[in-house]
Amino acid sequence: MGKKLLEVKNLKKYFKTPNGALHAVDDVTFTIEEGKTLGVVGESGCGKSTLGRTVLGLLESTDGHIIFDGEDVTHVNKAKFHELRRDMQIIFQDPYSSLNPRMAVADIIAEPLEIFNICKTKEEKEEKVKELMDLVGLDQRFINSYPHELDGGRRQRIGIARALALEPRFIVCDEPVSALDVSIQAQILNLMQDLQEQRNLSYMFITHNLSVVKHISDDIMVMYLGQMVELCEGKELFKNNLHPYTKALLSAIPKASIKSKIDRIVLRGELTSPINPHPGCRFAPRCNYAGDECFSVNPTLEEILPGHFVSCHKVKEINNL
Amino acid sequence: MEKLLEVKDLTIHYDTDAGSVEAVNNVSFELNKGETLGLVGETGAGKSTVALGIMQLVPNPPGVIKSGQIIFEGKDLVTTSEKEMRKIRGDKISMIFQDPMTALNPVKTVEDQIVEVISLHQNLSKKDALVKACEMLELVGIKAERITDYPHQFSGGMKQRVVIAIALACNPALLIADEPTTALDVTIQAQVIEMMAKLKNELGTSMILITHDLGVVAEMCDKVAVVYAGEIVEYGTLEDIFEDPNHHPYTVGLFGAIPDLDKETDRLSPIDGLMPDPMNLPQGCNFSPRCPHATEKCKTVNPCACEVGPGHTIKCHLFAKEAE
Amino acid sequence: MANNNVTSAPKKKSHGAEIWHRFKKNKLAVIGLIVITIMVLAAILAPLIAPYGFDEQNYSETFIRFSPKHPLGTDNLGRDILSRLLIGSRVSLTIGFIAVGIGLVFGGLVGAIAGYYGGTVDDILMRIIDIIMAIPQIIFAISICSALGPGLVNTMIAVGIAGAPNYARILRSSILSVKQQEFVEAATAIGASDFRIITKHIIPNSLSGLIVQASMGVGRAIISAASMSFVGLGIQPPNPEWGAMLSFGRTYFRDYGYMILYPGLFIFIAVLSMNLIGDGLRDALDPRLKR
Repeated sequence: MGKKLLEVKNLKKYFKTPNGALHAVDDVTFTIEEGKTLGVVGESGCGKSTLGRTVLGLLESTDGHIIFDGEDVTHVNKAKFHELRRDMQIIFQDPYSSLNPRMAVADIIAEPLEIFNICKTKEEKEEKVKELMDLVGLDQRFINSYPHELDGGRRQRIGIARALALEPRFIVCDEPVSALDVSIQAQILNLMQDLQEQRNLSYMFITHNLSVVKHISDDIMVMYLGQMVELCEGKELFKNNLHPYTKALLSAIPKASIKSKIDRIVLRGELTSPINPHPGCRFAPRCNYAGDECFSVNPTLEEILPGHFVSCHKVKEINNL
Repeated sequence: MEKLLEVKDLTIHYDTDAGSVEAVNNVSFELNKGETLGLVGETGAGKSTVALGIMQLVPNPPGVIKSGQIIFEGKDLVTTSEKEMRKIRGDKISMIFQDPMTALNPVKTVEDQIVEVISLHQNLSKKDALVKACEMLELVGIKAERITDYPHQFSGGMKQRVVIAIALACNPALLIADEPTTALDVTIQAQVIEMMAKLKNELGTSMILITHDLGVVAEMCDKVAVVYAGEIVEYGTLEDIFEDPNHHPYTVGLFGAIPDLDKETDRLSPIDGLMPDPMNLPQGCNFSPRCPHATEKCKTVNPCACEVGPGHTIKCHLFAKEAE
Repeated sequence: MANNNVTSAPKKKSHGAEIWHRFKKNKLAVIGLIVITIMVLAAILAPLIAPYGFDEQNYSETFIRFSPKHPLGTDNLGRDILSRLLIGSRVSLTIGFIAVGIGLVFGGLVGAIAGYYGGTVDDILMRIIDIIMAIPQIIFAISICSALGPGLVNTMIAVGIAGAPNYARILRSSILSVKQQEFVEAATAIGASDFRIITKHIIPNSLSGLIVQASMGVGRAIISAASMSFVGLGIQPPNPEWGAMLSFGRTYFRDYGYMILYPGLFIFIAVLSMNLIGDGLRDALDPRLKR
């Protein structure tokens, strides 16, 4: 087993809304080892992006602990927060809105270097920017271009270069490829894998795209309305998924093949938002197996099989364990 | 099988100050009654322009239909007057757009919006139109009592159902769906796909499905046209595209770029490079700068569509050789 | 071209150059810019190019409609109208630009603070702005001016302050929308300080609406100043100012209409040109209209 880089324990993030507390992230626990990728999957509104931002400290957590490299960083002062930016970075979903349209590529990539006074001279800075552009496969002729002159894939490469400028050890990737076309998506995924190998990076890879998450992740966590429902090794999740939501989610993906027609579990209803949630399983109203207990008692995350955590009252019954 | 729509050599350009954007070049395909055609390709391939062309809604200026015919029920839509087109749109041909959030008017109730379409095209009394509107809602799986609600009272998936109900209200012969499920979550997408497939069978509507998702194509389509840089590079039945060993290199690339859920792949094999600028298309085959098999000939001569099987055409020199 | 990797990096084209490129495409805006440039040049060079002094009276040549010596005629005191208009343009244009400048500084500051900090600060500042906006702008300016007393500087202050709430609202709302963009969060994530985020990321992206409004505001300020002179509060005679000339000429306008025609025309042309420039800027600054 590798060295634990990030440990998150019982993390909660509630937002105040006029209608009550929105439980965006509710009691989430996981660890990420050095050089590994944790995939976080869920549908829109399940709190996966909020989780990413809370882990980074961009949002203040309501409760729980975030331990980075053995140090509790849940509540840190401004100076420590600033220092942590060198280790923890983020890549955003939208390569259009995440780059300042008034800044040229060179300025965007150089900004973190300027903030941390990494380069002594202008030449050194330019050298470093070019190095980063090479690293992410961005042609140097774009150094003076503006973001709007480039396509989505190249813009996402700028975002990656900016995140890498400080040589972080941990990167939250918030849907980094969902705004891109498939052929470009594959280029970016390969790039991210290469970078992980070269620099021993740890990723928290947030996405709604199950085939992408399977491809890139070591471990996968499935979230539903702010809660984690299943966490295990990636291969295990696709072979031997236990939670009824995971099963429905996996069967809902349209497969690019006409051979394997599977029986699809079509869920009733839609996601709601977890404002002042009632006790009980949040998936129960849409679950085909829900019993009385599911509507009244919160399920807890249990290690059902070695390394395979599920939060469901009926998990043993459903899977004949 | 009766032919419903035939598009012949359709070419649509956008003439801008900076130059001519060649959005659609010599696109031809046919659609029979009750069939679903999938137009697959990436952003900017010209899929949506083809759809707008059929609807005669290409924004002009700058868009111009340079040449070609769109024969719908025996009539060429390119030469049809705007007044007549208005009667056809929404009645015989309707369209569903990608984003259900913006496709509905937020200040009108769902009732108003469905009844509007029905009364525009059908000679029904107000009462009958309302009855029909309720039927349509039930058909797409929304309770009829919600008809007086406003769009914001529905969730994303429900809104897309309302949009579909409006599109199908006049029982069109042809439904054009432009990325109908892209904005939806997977579990909701599964619901909508299932519903659309059911409705298609019940109503016998023909459909053109525009998407970038090969999975959705596999679920819904009978025929597939792979579009690249304004051209159809491969065209055939669903089986031809998914099972036949012969493919256009771009189709191969598209399949290689999606991570496969059933297989373990360490690295994806993306297509190198980027889509060409439609204002400045390469010489010869449009795909040649990105193609791993490109030869000198590919860089100079634009290939013709070669038939590799009955109804299965590939626009590539690799297959022309075999035919010789 | 797309695969030509040897192409060296294109020279850095500044944002300004790009805006200018798009601005140039709007013919009317360019005409507006040319007209305003000529007016500003004429105002600067007025003492040199004006044929007579602005208060040079000649009682033998009163009420001349047109003569080769006085192309735009003379007034009741025999003063050359062209010279007075040229000298007066210095005052009118100065008021126009400086009043907008004052409005921008005050309004912009209030708007920026309200927009960036939000919450209670925003609520208090915006309610104050609402109260001020409930008073018609010209009446507000007149009340300030009557409190401070007439004169060039006071007119500029009055017109500027009266226009400030507009700018505050515009800047606040654009800051609110820019603040939510992901690149602001991205800047926080790479450790940028509040100051850096405001000055490098938020302000540059919020200014376009303000610039457009300001360019149109110049025209409005000229009219406001003219109205103030018209009611006798702005510039005092014998100093020429377009509004003051208009006000002064109204005594004679039944018989000598040209006395108010020319000042009116100058105001009209200046305001129209500024509005055309404003229109052009709005299009040029809107990134959605790129290409």
